[in-house]
Amino acid sequence: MRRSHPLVVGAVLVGLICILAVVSFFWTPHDPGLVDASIALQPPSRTYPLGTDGFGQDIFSRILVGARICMLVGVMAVTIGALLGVPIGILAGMSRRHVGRRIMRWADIFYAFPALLLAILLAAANGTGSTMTAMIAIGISSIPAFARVANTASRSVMSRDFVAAARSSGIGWTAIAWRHVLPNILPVVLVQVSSALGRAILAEAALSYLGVGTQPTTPTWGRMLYDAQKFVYDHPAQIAVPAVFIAITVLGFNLLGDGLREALDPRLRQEA
Amino acid sequence: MTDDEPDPGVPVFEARGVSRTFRRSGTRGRVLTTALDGVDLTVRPGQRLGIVGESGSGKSTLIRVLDALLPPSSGEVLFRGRRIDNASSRQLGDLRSSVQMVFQDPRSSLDPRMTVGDIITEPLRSPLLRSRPDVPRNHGERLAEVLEQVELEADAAGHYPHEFSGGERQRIAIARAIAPRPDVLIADEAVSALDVSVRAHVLNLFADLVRSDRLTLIFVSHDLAVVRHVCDHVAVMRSGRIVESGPIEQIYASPAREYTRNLLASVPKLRVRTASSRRTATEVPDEMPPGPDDPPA
Repeated sequence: MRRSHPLVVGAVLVGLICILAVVSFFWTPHDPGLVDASIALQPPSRTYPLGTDGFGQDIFSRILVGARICMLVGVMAVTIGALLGVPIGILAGMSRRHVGRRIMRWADIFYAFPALLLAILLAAANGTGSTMTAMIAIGISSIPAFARVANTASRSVMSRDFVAAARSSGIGWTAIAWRHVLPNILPVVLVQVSSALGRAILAEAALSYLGVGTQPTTPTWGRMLYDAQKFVYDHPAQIAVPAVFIAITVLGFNLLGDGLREALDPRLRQEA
Repeated sequence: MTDDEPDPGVPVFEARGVSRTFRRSGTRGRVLTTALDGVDLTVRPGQRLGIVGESGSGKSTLIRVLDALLPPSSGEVLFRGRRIDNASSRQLGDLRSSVQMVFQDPRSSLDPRMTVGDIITEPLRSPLLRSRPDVPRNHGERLAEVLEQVELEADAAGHYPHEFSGGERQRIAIARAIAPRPDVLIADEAVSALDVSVRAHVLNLFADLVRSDRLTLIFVSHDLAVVRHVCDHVAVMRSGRIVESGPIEQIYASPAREYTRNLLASVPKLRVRTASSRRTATEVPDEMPPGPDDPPA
């Protein structure tokens, strides 16, 4: 039970953010885009639970709606990364050692490209940044991490005798990949998904803070940070609110990843 | 393309001067280790060949080369008269459909994420085996048959390997190997990972299956007592070479090589009474003089 602690805390935090995002589709206390200069920078009150920002927009409503973008970009980016990275890693893990090494060296080169740089490049090529460029940039830059994890795990699966048994009865490489390798590396991939989500959400916040991700008027937590920093001396709570939510989300996913890692560790599992 | 009836004159396996080296990166560049060093071996249909030798003598490498899981570095390997070294997987159809393997450690040879039923019927679903006419088509029926043959409950099929004991898992591995009705069974230290109490049972199972299905058997072990139980021929390996081979009783009765004598001497007697006899007494034929310290009953 002690071991499942991070798993539970992580799941609760992530679940909370997911609920926020879902709720925002049905209900927000106020219109998150409604600008009213007469009520700018209000402290938290019953009508405005977290106060209002410099434009008089309700911060809580914007946090709710911001959770959508944060989840959308995170999930889509990680999907891109996993769908491309895992097959590359499996391919490298199933190839002869020197071929696999060559593939992984290419993955390492891409590892050196930060998501940020890629997003700026994409945004420049497109003329302007968008939610899409953020997703693609973060997704592409998370491919190498997935490839690496999948490669190491598949190589260890390939050395086990059940693969030799399958080969000796003429099972083809694709069938071995689907039937044996993928199911056996799934736990480690899952752990990677969780921690990649944390990183993707952080990257998304950074991109929208810099203005190369989702464009203004659509509320995002990163953008809210940017807008609030003007008031950091007079109204520090303004900047704290989105920052805390970003931190909670990233922490949640990281805890979830750690918890999964422990829960799926074969050495611990065998005791169960 | 495939000759279904094996010509009794054509050896099942023939290895001619087979060598295999492995490259390992050491601290000072690459180191070459020789696992097989010019091995010549002929396995005739119906033969039950034991391959013995200490660990690291190249036994496992040899059978992996024979089963075309590893290409030899040099030399020729023939299966029923056809070259299989460096053959493409399409050309290996005959080998893949006729030869099945049982591995040493059933924890590693059974996919933990597959049910026992899926594991056992996997060879039946192989594209290369489906082309052979005598491979059972009704998977469910064949599954029930082989489960019975290896003395496992029929409902074992729905369970996962980790729910079984070591001996049961090895019987699952045997069931998988015999499911497609192979002609040749290769066992790589198939009983060494098992408890002594279970070992005899699994060993008898092997002997029975080989006898009833008239299989050609290649049985690798470091344990001569085990090999003697199921084999009629034996090849003794050391440092990647076959140092001695022949009919089993001949090798046991008059081992020509010092190494074989030492191997024989290292076999513990099956009925041991005292600690001193365990160290010296061997399970050798009567011609060998009994140890001086035979237990005084």
